[in-house]
Amino acid sequence: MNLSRRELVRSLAGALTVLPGAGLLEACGRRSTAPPAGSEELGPLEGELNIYNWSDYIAPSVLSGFEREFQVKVTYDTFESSEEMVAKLQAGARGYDLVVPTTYAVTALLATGLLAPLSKRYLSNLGHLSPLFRGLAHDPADRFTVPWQWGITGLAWRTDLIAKAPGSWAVFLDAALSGKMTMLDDVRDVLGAFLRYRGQSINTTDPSLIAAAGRDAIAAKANLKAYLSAPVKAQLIAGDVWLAQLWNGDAAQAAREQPAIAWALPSEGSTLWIDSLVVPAAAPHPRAAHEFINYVLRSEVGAAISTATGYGTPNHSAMPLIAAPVPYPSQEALTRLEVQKDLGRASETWDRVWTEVKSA
Amino acid sequence: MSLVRRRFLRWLGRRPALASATLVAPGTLWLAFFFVVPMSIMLGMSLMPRGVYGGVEPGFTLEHYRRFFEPLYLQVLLRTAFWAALATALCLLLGYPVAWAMAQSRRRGLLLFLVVLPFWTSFLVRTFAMIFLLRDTGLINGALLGLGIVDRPIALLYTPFAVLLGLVYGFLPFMILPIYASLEKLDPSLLEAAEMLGARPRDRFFQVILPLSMPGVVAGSLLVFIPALGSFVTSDLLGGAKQAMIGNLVQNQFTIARNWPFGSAASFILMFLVLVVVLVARRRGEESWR
Repeated sequence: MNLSRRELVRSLAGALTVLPGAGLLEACGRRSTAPPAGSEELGPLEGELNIYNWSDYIAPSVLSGFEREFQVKVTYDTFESSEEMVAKLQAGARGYDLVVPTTYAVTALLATGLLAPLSKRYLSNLGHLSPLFRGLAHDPADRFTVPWQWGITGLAWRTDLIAKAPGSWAVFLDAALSGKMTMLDDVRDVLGAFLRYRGQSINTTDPSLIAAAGRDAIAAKANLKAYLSAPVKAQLIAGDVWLAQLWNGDAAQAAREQPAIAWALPSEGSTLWIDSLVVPAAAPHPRAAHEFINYVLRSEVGAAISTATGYGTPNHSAMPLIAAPVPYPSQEALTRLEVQKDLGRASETWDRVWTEVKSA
Repeated sequence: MSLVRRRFLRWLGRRPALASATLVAPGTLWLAFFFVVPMSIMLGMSLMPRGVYGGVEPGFTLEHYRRFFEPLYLQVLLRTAFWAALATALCLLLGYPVAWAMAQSRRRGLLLFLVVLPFWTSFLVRTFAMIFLLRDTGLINGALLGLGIVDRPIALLYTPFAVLLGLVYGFLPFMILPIYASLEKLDPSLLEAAEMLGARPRDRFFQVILPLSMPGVVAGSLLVFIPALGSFVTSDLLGGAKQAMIGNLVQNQFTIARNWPFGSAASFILMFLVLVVVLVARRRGEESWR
């Protein structure tokens, strides 16, 4: 049995229902008698929709277009890390109708019962999805997720400031670019890079392999300017940072402002991630959430999103509408790419090693 | 209506215990509900086994408290305490003369307003603004390069120096204000008396002014040291997430490591340490007052 704080708080709230007004709180949570998220048949379209997504991960026109067409007011919140979002939902954050977790975050959300199954009858555009992105390990029966965008963690660098293209994660262990490099502020990405460098899986639960990756990370830290995630784009553009561990789409966004920015997949391989749209079990506007999913599955909407983000689209019919689409990874590249899985109990070992790296 | 109220107040006035209880009740209830209840939840959580996907599992364990005393975490704590103490000392050195100048000035109102002015902007925004000053292509390096003082940018941002600068910058007003408050009350005739009795300026400061302003110094030091000890934004933004402080460790347990019990236990240990510091400081403050 897994007693989360959300449940603790709920039982506490239950104890307080004797108080007048506590019933009112309950009523505010669900005003109408519409069927909850997860029902096969949903109620009428609600007037609001609350989305929680990664930063820099949508085309603004998509939101305004949906608002105009469906007369739904969209509230859009962003997060910087998967863990931050999972923690917020697990702590009992209600009110979100659509969230965009990455593969292993879907596993954690499913395990804690926070997601509602999707009702396919409202998703007539599902056929636009490429079969590559269906039946994935985190949702084998496609019951809870619809893929949003996909990308690869790799190396972005300034071709005008660095003569030789970096081809390996070993670049971080080389002092030649000391003080000009950054890695993502993410335990999975940093240790994952050095696990790949040593020919290991990014999903390892073996303490000695994690520790070895930690030692590499500490050695690399001496050469790093900082651990920066999405904010590194501005510093790459300004030339403060010459080489960064970065996702391909964010690198493409930065390259629009500074054409000298290139991106490559290191020879040892890396992480392929797929982020999905999911509806939380506590979503107050499940029908609007479904309409939005079906809306982004339209070819032209999917194309607009990928054009803005620079990431790959799972929408096969959107591909021809994108000026410079990210091609699906080749068979050769696929052999070097891994999808992140939830680490379960081993996450404590990962965290300990990460603390060692951060305090070294 | 006013008669009823007057009668009620008179009736209440004859019952001082009830009167004070009436005044204290709203604050007490507020604290009980929004302070004691969440703290109790956290205390309970810190004693339970960790849930694999976040949250806690039923049971009882002291493991999280034991884990905190491993060298890895103690080292983070010690370093954080060192940074916080250094920031406090720098704030004191910078803030005391400012507070003195303010207390002597005829334009106290304006100076007070200027010290409080930064609070009109969020701490996060001000910290972000520091990035634009400190980065390689920022204002400071731009000026140094432009003047030919250096030929390549010097690393300012993402260094321990930047973290210290951010802490001092952020918390300086908390040092200035209490010292100013105690210096403002200083009776000038005491200084005249000291002067007439032959005390040199140096003696007047160390024998008269400093002891009398000690309550302000102690209050200011606590107001800087405690938030500096728990801060995590500064080390993230200005330290480039390379210098983990204890606040980062606690934050990470909740947001990234999905280990709420360990994060709760670390918070309680930190709170206990702060309590010890406050008690010691209070005793010191009282001693110097005598």
